[in-house]
Amino acid sequence: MTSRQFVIRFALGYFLLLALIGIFNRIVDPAWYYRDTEIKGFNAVKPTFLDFARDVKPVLLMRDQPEAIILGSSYAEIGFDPTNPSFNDHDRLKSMNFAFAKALWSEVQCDFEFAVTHSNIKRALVGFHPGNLPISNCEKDFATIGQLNTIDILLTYSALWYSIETIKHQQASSASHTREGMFFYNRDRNPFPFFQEDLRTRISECQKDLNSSVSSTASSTANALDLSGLQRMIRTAQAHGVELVLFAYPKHAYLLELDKLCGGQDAQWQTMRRIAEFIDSESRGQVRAWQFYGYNDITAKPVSKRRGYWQDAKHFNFEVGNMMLEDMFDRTRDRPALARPLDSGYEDFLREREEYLQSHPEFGANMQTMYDIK
Amino acid sequence: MLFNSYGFIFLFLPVVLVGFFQLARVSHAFAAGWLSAASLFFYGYWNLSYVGLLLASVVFNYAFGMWIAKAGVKQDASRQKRLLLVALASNLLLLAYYKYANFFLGSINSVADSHLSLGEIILPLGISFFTFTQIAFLVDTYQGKVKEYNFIHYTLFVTYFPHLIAGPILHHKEMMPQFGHTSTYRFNYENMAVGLTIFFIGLFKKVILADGIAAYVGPVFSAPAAGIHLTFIEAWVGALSYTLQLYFDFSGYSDMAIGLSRMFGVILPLNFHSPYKAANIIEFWRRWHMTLSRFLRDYLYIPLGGNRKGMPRRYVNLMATMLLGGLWHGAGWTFVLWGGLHGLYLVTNNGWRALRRKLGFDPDRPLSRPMHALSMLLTFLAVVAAWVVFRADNLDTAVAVLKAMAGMNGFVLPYAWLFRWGAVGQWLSAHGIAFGANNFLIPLTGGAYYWIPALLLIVWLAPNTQQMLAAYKPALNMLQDSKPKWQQWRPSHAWLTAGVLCAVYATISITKISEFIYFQF
Repeated sequence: MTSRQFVIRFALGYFLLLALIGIFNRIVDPAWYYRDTEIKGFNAVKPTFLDFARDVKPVLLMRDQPEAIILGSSYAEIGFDPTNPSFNDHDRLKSMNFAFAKALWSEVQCDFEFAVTHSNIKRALVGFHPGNLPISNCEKDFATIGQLNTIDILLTYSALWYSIETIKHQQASSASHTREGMFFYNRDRNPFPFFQEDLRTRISECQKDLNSSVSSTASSTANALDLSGLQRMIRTAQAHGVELVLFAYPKHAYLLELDKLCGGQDAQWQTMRRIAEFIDSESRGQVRAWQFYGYNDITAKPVSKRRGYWQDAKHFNFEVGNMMLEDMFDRTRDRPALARPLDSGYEDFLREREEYLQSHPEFGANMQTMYDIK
Repeated sequence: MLFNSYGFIFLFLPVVLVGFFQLARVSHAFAAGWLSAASLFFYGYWNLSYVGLLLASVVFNYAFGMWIAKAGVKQDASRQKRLLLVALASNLLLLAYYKYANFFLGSINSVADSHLSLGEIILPLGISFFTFTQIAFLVDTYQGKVKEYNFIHYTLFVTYFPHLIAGPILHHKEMMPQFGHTSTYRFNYENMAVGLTIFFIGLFKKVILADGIAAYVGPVFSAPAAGIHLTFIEAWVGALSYTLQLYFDFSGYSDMAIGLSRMFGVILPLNFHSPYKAANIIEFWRRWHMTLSRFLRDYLYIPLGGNRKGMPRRYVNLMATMLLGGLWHGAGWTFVLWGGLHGLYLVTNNGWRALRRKLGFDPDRPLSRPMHALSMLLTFLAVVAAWVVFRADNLDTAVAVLKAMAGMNGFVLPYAWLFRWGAVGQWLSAHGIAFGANNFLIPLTGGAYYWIPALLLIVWLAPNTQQMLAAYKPALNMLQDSKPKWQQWRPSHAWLTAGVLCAVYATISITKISEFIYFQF
């Protein structure tokens, strides 16, 4: 072979192989970005979308222009199917789950601002943890949100690896998300160990809390809440004509029970009441806010080894999410099934608890024996 | 702009290559000017404001070079000397300001408890390289060794993008004549084939090997500052990983520089020759960063007196050269200590050779195979220990890692190995070897247990790039070292297939911005 032949063949082989890799990744589309070639048994199921979600969802939002979005952390990403008819007004609103696993409040706030400035958002459901909701500087996030480098999803070794993984895992149960962005997480796994871990973690936190008498601290926190981020979110929603609905993430009753045992639950309710008052005054009653703490057949359902309402003590499945969405958005309902207004009284909650425990004497025993809590 | 970036590979390089050879058809001066302009663009892509500094440095040194030469022609020795001193002082002041000012002020502050500061000074990329390159030009002009004063060639010699940021440190006498050759400006398929091959070998070393093992370095070297006591294994994993990362990073860069330059028909000097195969520290410095060693020898060690003034003075000169060599790498006491360690190694090595000679043994007599392997291992361990000091953020970290490597924190093996090793693990445990939970590092360093042996095998057993391409004279100052024919590259289907696969694998593995370690020097 002459040097001339070597150079020409080297260049041809190099560019041809790169082109083939690019075309292969483009067709398989493990990042679920192009969404134009979906062949059953080949690439229709996207098991690796999870690893691309943070980068791809914002680009999809800009491209698909949803009108109704769900924001928050993994609780919202796992728990809500945005195609729920109550949420998307029976398909009148194009909807998307724009929540991200592990997203902090600061990120949720920036995601919200990004969404309302890059899509024609009419409705937004935002999850939060009762506590400080401070303002965050979104400049840094805006520099990266929605900046998808197509080379990364076409011409990298990791993209090739993800494509091969996609082809290898085409069982329906391997999908990581729905097309509209809802995350399946551990939906098909035995929830037992995850519950166990959550409850054990809570017990360990509880022991620390008791040692540092958190109750008084929580109470004082309620009086000195920083809600500047929430304020900004409400004002942004109003400026863009967005129907903003807020909700505190629910918990399984086992966790509520531990909260009560550990003390400080009343302070948590005070916090929620303060937040509710703030929302009411800031939005002049235009923004609705809900919580789902309670003892009922959904939140207190015993955990079995099969798929149920909960994946762990905090992550609810979309069956629960659907009920929550109907409570929050189905205006034909007389009274909600699970939801309470965010400012509802702690006494009502305690009364409901008493009634439930009396009518379900097995609750305590289940909790203790199932989770090895002595 | 980085060699290991899509922008460089798919845009900058093809455009500059096509432009160079097209313009060369019209005028060699245009082509050389184009290459200089492209090099300045390459430099300015990082920080446009420092292009002015680079250009000013080029013009200043060229002008002083001309004046020194003219003074030489007029045989005005005192003027010549004055000009040289002014030029050298200016270069060293520039380097001192950008690279060492805050280090010296910090050292004064810590001793005198003062608060002197010049604020944050951004180190211009490659300043150590282009300053040294030009100092050599000035000194050689003074000594009457410079034969060519073409400004475009000079500008190109200093700014030439393949070497500008991290070397090799070029010498005008080996570069400027090449810029004058007609053959340089004629497209040559052999140059392109050799250049492409060397470039992609370098890219593979950097992206796959150096970046691959880099993940195991940071956690180990940041552990002492976080109050974590490293175990014996962890410390060795960190030290060996860094030793290999630095090797593949720098030799990868050097290969890429040599390959790129070869595509333009210009042959760069050899900078690396399997340094970890060295059987003593003198040999190590003949194989590691060879152009820096050459510079330090010619422009520091020899002017200090070299070995011409007796043995004690020779050792003082060696120590001084290595201490300054250490400081050249960075403004920090760890670099000075690293240089000092190597100075000490060299003094010991030279002393040993002198002693052998005194006792009637020939120190240059080839060693037996086992002795050679033992010497290689000993040299390697000494180099690894010195790299720990080089890599550590401060002396405390260096001492902590070295203590752990010496077993002073105990010989605890990862708990997972107790089960993985089965009966052997049980036997070791029963005989007093401790297996302990190692929650901090083991998840991170797990892969290192495969990487380190694999890379050591490459380092010690594989031929290096220059040996593989020896038949095509890939670099200047090549060392004669014959290898079996099957290890020698030639334009064939087997090498083509291997080359394309390596090139594609390396290219698609460029996933993040990963600077070369030597950029910081």
